[in-house]
Amino acid sequence: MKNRIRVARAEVRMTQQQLADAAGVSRQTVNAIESGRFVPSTMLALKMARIFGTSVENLFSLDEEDI
Amino acid sequence: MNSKLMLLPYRVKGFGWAILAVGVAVGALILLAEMLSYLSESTPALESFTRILENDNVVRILNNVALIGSLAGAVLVGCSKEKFEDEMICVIRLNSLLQAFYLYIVAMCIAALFIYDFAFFYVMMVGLVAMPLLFVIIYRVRLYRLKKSLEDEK
Repeated sequence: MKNRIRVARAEVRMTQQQLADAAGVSRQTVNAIESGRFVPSTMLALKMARIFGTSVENLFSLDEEDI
Repeated sequence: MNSKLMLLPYRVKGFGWAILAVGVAVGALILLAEMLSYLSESTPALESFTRILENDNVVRILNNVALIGSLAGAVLVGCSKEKFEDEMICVIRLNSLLQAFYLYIVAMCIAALFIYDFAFFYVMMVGLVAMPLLFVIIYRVRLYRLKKSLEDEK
């Protein structure tokens, strides 16, 4: 699964720690999600979408191999 | 559906480490003393160390300390919340448990194939605590690697 969290974070000038605090997770988790090592739950994906004021589909999308 | 895991509170982790350390240390001493007892007949210097195995009551108490200490310690360490608990820690914990289970089964199968007679008694003794200990080791190594990967990125 691809995600554009790093880009969305840069757009609003937010650090990993700030995003982690806002989403209620650790910075390790944000880092792992950004680097594609961890796929978040629906709940966390929805929380992140709300933090950035966008939709989940705008943040996360399926890879060719996921389809 | 409530998908929260039944985890122990973070405050028990320190106590868990303490009794795990005592349990593993006593267990290792018992195994060492058992093994050395075969050698002590030819090596008088080892006799005083292996003499602790001659008193049945002491052996029973030490066995219980080793077994219960290791098992309870592993549960308290492995199944208590981290300082900052989130869903990735949960996934790491469950994957570590699964990996420990696989390793335990493979190790027991190999032991059953290649270890016989009285030596298998030691395999069974270690087998009693092997899986929880493997779980704690794998879990802590994975958490350490996660922390390290973040530090390396800085």
